[in-house]
Amino acid sequence: MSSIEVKNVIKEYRIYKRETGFSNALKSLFYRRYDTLRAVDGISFSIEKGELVGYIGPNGAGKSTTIKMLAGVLVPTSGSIYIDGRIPYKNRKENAMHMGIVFGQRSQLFWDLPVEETFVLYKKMYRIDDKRFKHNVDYFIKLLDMEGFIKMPVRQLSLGQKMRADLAISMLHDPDIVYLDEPTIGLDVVAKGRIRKFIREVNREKKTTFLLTTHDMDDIEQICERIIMINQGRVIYDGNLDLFKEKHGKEHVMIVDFADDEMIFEDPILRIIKEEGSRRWISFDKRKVGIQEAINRVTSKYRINDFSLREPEIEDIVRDMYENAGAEV
Amino acid sequence: MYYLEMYLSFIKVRFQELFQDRISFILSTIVMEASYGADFLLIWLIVYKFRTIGVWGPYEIMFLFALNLMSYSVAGFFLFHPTTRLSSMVRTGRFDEVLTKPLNAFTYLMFRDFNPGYISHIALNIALMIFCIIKLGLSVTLVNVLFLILTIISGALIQGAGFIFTSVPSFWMVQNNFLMETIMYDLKYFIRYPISIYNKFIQIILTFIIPYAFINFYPAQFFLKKNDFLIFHPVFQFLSPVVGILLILGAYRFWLFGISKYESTGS
Amino acid sequence: MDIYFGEVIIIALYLDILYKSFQKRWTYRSDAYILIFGTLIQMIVQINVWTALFSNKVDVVGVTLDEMIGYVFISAIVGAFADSNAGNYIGEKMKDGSIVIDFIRPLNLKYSLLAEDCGVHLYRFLFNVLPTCLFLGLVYRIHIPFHFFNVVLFAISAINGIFIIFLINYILGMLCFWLKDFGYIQWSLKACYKLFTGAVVPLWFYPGFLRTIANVLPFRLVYFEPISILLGKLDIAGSLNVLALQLIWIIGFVVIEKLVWYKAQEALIVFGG
Repeated sequence: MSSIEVKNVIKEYRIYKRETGFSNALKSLFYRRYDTLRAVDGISFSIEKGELVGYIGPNGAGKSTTIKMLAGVLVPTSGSIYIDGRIPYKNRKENAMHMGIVFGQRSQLFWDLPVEETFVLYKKMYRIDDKRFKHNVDYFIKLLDMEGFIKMPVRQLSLGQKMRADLAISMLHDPDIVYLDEPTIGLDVVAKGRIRKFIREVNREKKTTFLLTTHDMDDIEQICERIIMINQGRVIYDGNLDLFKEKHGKEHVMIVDFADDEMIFEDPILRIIKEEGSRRWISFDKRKVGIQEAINRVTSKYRINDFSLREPEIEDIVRDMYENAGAEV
Repeated sequence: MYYLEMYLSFIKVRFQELFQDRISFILSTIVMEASYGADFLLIWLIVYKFRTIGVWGPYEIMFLFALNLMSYSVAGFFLFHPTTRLSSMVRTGRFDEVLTKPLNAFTYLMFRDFNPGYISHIALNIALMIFCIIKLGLSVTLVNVLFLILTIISGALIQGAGFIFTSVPSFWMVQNNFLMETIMYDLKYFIRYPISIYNKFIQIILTFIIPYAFINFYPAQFFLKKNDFLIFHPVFQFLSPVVGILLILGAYRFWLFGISKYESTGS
Repeated sequence: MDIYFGEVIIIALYLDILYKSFQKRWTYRSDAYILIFGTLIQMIVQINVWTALFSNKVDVVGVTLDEMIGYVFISAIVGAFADSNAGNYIGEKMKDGSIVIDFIRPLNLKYSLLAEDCGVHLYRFLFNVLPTCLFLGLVYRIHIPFHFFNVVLFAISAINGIFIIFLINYILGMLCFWLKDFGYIQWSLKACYKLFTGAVVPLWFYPGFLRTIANVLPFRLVYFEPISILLGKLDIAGSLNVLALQLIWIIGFVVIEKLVWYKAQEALIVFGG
């Protein structure tokens, strides 16, 4: 049986008109006007134990809503969700015992206390036995390189340090599944790298299932084997990341510095997507024109000073897909 | 056992936090108690000058005041932060976290956000109460002591229900501070004095609609052997526990209703 | 001529601040009910308390129930004006050093804050105290003796009282530069208001020692003395005495204020904010 089973889940919000002012507020005690908004519109997927899944989509696509339903915070309007056989919102406490969750910019740490104090608190809360607790704390401190700040009050920590501590806390009780909502948001490159390495390592070591939302395509590329892409509440792609690139990443880009400023570049197949002085970004579909031929087309007719070739980047593909998906609807 | 152990570690954590900023904690405690003290002193002073208000003397008024503040402090210790912060938790989405813990949401909030500042109120009140009991020459029998404790708990339940009833609407309203302001603070001005000094309309409201009179007035009638039963039966003296339990149960139902609203609407 | 013209413009600026401050509260006018409700309850409680206290008594230390009910109303009206947000404002800005910006502003901070306060006072009077008093005036009988001379002296002394409250707040706010937090000061100040202004319990009923303390402090000059003047409890000499005392306090506060302002400015410039 799959670890996470989501079937035809729909989530509709009633957006209440929040009214200010006393008399309106008093009225709203009894009667409230609302609009209905369908944030998740019939989503189905299943995730096996130990998978690393990236859950991506533009803002407002329904990512956070899905995560909140999986975590038992929100109740789906219709459809079914089973996490290891449990219905999250019905068995909230039981579900919480077996999951970890980190909300990007919302820390669960106690502001004035050292991280290790919060560890002890969570040990009690999740009934972690001494042996496992000690093992995990040591393991996470080492893996996340937390030795240097574990005794410092949280308010003195950097954003990256806080995120590392939050990650450790959410996994102290060896959860089967961990949900990460924008785990690298606002962090610098080094911090991001460390967190990505940590996630891969824990997944390998403990067979933990990870589902993460992110806007950073490097996260996806470096962490995930599989992506689920949603747009406007529906799944628009679900599958292997390499396959995804293969299937949708058609466009290569050549960056060419021409020797002649005044030249006019015209070609029926190659397409200029950007220009800057004498430099041109030229895009082409690898399956229509071979790389060899594309280069020939440029160099045979024009004199060039410099030349480089770029692989299709996942960021471009994704942007392309969002835009196209948007256009279809 | 699990709950007790966890509560203790939450308390430990909170006190460690306080310890970080001792001076400001001590200062704020002194200043806050001084402010309550001023309130109290004025009430006492005036009754002392005029000797009685209705059939109540100055130390009896002091006893009323102590019962009110004591039960408020006990309720506030557990509920002041969870309820007054609920609105902002819902608005900023921090309430999500509360629902992802392996604990009942209400218990978790009470554990995490208890207010140690109220401990000094409780201490001050205990002193005040003992002083009253000595001054009034109340007989310290087992029954009296037990009933006093029961009265304080009942009062705390009534005040706690007030905290909950006024805060739960923040699950679906932007502004609920007016509810708190009027119900938790404005209306409680009435019970600083024996409700027998007001007209019947106010007495009925304070007995049946917003039953604050059960926090101090009715039980104090028992302890002080008062017979200003107003329009009501003497049995009201003993009804505080019933009122407290009914209100807190109702408040908890209301809380669950609020949570279910949150589950379906999000923030 | 030029100077005269300039001053008119500056006064217009302060009036504008006053108006803006009023308008800011005006946007919340639909919430006025809450404030009215609070004030209403406090006044009802007070009137009931005095009524109960005076039952079977014609007068206590020469004060009658009618006078006390009048006292409750006048105290509420004075209360609309006798409060200041200046301490809070300066306190916050002193704490983080952003007060330096106010040092270099062309407008005088003191007068701007006073104008800001006045906007709040006006709003509170029109939308809280006045409707509450009018409503309660229908329910309870009030006897306030109106002698022209008393009314004039009351008005002057009440305005002086506003200045006193403002200056106290202003100076204490400035002390935040050294004390770091206005929260404690505010709480202590509230306790002092309750105990020593006579806003709720007139000083007539105070026992000796407390009366002595209250007499030494300036707070009684804000509520108790002006109300006494209006109720005709003070003769001309006594009233003028109050006005003189108020002036002495105001002058004293202005001197202190200048001193503290200078010291704070100096310190801020040395530390660089």
